[in-house]
Amino acid sequence: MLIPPVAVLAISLPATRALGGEELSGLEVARATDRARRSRTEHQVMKMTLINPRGQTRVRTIEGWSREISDDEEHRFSRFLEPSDVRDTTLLSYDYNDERDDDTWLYLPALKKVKRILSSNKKDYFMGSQFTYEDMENLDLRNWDYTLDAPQTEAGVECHVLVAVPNNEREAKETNYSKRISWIGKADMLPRKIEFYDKSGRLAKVLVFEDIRPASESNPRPRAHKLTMDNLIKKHKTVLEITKLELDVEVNDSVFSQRNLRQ
Amino acid sequence: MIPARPVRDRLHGLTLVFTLLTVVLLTAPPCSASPLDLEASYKGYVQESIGGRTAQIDELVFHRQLINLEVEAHGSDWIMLRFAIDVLRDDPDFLAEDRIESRLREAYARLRFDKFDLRVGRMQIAWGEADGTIVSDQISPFDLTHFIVPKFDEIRLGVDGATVDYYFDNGDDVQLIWLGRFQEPNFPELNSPWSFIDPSMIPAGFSLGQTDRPANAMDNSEFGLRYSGHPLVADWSVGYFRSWDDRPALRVDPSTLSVTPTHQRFDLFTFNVVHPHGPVLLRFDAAYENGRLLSTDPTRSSALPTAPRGFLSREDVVRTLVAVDTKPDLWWWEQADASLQFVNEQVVHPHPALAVSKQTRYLGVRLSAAYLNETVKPWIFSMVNLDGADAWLQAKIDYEPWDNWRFSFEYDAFFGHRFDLSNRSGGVFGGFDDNDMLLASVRRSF
Repeated sequence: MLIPPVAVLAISLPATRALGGEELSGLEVARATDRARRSRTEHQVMKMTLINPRGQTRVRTIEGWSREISDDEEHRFSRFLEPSDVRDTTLLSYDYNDERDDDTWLYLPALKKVKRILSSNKKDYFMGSQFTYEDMENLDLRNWDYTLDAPQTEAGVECHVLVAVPNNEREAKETNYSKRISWIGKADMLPRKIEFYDKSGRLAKVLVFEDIRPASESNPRPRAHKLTMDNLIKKHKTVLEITKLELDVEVNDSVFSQRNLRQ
Repeated sequence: MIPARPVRDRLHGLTLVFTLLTVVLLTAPPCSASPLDLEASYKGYVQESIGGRTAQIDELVFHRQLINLEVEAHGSDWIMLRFAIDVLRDDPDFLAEDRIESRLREAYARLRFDKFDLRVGRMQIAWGEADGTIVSDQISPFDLTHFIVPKFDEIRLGVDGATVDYYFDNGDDVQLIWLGRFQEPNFPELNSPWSFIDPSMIPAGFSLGQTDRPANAMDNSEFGLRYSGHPLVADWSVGYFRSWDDRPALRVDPSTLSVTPTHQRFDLFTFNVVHPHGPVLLRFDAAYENGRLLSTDPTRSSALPTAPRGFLSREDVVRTLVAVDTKPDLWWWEQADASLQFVNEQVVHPHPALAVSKQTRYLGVRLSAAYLNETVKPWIFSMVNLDGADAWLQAKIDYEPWDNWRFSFEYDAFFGHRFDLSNRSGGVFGGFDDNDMLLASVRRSF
């Protein structure tokens, strides 16, 4: 998957029916959060601030559109707005949640060319941030096992504690992580925090979700508008802010076309 | 050897215009205005590059200051005006004096209709799937004044004309092109270390004349079309272009003892396809050049019963490229990108006295990575001539410590020798064997 516009793991869990009082298995919580994440279409602008150990910052801004074709297929269109040297670079991708490889096209304005490209490796970092492409994928319900630990309170909210580990050798080899632990609000099913453990079992990264409020005036579904990924090993941090968000709006088919890629 | 000019002269050569423009562009924020209901925006960069031969590092073979400015103005969805201009100052040692020039690379209007886009003006058109070499990408020419020292995105020139891109409901598209004026590439001066002209091609006692170019006339228009399909299994396109040859052949006239670089008509047929296959991307690019004029060796031609007129032979040439791209999944290779390209150029039925290689095969390798959150980006690119024993190796590191700042350090090495007719070895890279160089540049984008 390449440059999904703010599809960051479960950042977009809308309020669903209250599940707090029910006995749920880990897989059911994972399924519920995955279902809750989905919207028919999305349009957003996100600003990514990269912060190095010396406190120096770099900024990337991306505008993106996406639409869900089926449970296993999503189309995305992204346009880079900042920094200047990549401005107007555009990307069209058809992302699949099954065994198919994603289809991706990139338009490089400096070269005047649309290029079919390979999807990035899951372990690669996205645009120099602390988010890997894997971090930005949808929940993988097939290749990971989900279990629940005892509930905890996180950021003042009672949460499910969902532990995920890869369930096959191939996934264990492809992923960066040996384990992920997610704190998911029982009332709204929105994540508050995710811990990522590397293959040696060290806590490598922590993702915190903040500024949870309705997506827009026309769509009251709550979403996290600020995400902070802290790489505890590299001492780098990435803050992702969603400055514009529209859910389930009309997005013309032509947005996801070769023609739009070249405009 | 080129006499080195004092550094003080170079500093004095900095023009006031260049300096003022640099200050203005570095300090001004990106703008957005709305005159006449057009929403305008601009971007670009300021760049300084300096390169010296490793054999004598104080001898500059490349020294350029460049301002690139691109302006777009949108009036709703249906009209867009675009301008791209370079202002540059060249000051390498082989030039007697500074050269300051501006290049209007793009200036066109795009009108968007329901099913098609119309572009009119000066534009850049890119065809094909080759990477760092030219196979079917022969519509917009390149500025080759300094051969490969400037990067591909800096050297493509604009062409004047009109295009129509028609989009079918199934996602396919067809592009119609009409170019009203022949735009030739910019070639190096004869005294440039990057000159392509082989002195051995000019017979003793002959002189090199002015290039013979087609006149600006409707009859001399270039035109063509390309049909492209984008099914998930593979992107493909097939094209035709009635062209003037960007690469002039040398016409020899014994009556005037002159050698004249001559541009001639030929027909270009292209086909390319890109197919993703698991962890690799397969690329194929092909061009059939029908009726190109190629030089023959006057000595050997004269010995034949009938020497070709002007010692030029009309030939068909086939160029093909097969490439494999992949992203190796190795812990130490971050943002890995690797590409292997095989290029074959072949004259189909070569004249017996042909003065150029009848077949040339290149193997190209490109490896790139990005470390420290895309701050350090190493890159290696190499092209090896499998038939002529010449090669080019480029190793480069881009360092981007802050947004919109890029510092580049590059080493280029050339191996072999210029193409030698007697034993048919060597090639274009070997011709620059003395030009192994170190290059440094800084770019500030805005």
